[in-house]
Amino acid sequence: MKKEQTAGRGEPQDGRLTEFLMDELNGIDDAFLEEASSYSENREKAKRMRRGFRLPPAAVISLSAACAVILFAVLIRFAIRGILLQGPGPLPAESGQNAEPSGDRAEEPAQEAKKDPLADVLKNAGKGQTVAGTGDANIFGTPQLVWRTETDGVCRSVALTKAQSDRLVSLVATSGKAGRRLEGGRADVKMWILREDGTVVTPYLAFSPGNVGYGTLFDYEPELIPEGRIVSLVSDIVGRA
Amino acid sequence: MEDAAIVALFWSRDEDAIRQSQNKYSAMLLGISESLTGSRTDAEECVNDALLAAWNAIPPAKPEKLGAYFAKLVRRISISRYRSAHAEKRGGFLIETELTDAIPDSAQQDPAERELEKGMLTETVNRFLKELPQRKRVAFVLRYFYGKSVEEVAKETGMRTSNVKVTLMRTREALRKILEKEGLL
Repeated sequence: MKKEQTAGRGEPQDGRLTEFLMDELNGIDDAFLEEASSYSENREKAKRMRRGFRLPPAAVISLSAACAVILFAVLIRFAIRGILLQGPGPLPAESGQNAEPSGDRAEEPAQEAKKDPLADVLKNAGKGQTVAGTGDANIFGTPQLVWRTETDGVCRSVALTKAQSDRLVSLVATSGKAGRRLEGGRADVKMWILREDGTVVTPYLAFSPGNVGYGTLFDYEPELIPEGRIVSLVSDIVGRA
Repeated sequence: MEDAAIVALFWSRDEDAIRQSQNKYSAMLLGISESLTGSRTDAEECVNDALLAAWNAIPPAKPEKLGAYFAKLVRRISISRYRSAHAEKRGGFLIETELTDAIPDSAQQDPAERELEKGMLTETVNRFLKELPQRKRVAFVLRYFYGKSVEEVAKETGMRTSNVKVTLMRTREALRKILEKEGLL
């Protein structure tokens, strides 16, 4: 269509107009001229740079193989570790007590779960403390630390200052989530912190409204191993008593 | 040698300016001229004429982009030479024939009108080029300023030959529309 139209106008006139346009193209901005003349060179440079960053195929294969080997080794290691930690399973007597231990308990390393430094402290410190009996006598009004050795069922206690009881409860409240579970829920010693308002907490349970007693030394199955800060504070308190 | 140093040689009227210019730009200038004149011998003469013209113009001229400056000189001289050699036939070389596509249907036939449009047309073309995507702009400039063949444009832009042809055709049509809209030609 266009060709027909231009042909219709006559070649000489069209030619002059085209010449005019051709001449005017001489005024194209220098920046465009430079861009066009260096475009190919710049394109090659960019290509070379991209090639420079590209690893040769052999290196890519080697790298992939190395990654695969490392991943495989790590997986094997974890698998073996898992098998070793599972062990031969609980003894018949133990399994009677704990027919269905929770999955979390099963995953805890055995050697860590057996350690209960607070129980050791309380068992060894029990000689000189007031024997409180097994009842709930005198648990209001005075902050106390009460513990009971499960072997003889004797309950002992030491008086706490308000600061000590607050500090202990604060430690129980803040460390509960990070604490570790005791294996099978068994404990040689049970311990309670009695506050002057009658509330009772134990460092062997996660701190929550459901685990706070009032006016009673509630029984419990220990879920946590009290952390080091609690152990050292209790050790200090019973050591001075 | 850097452009600024060559220009400094021109300004100090040192003939080494011509030699350095030839070393740096003769291949590019010969390419432009040959594509327009169609003759190697004519192209060599045009390049020499262009360098002489530059010698006469610098100073007072002080071009910042010496390559573009020489390219414009040699292009003008080459077109002029070709036209005087082929005065009987207008729109003789292929590039001019292609550019017919960019001429608006409503183009003015009066040479006096066109005289008034000088400069305005260049400005419009530059604005048009600025709006184009880079690769299209480069293809257009390589073809219609530097006079490169479609194959050369394809090689330099990394496009296929067929793509270059289509791109150039569309660009010419777009230019025609702009010129029509602006009432130029």
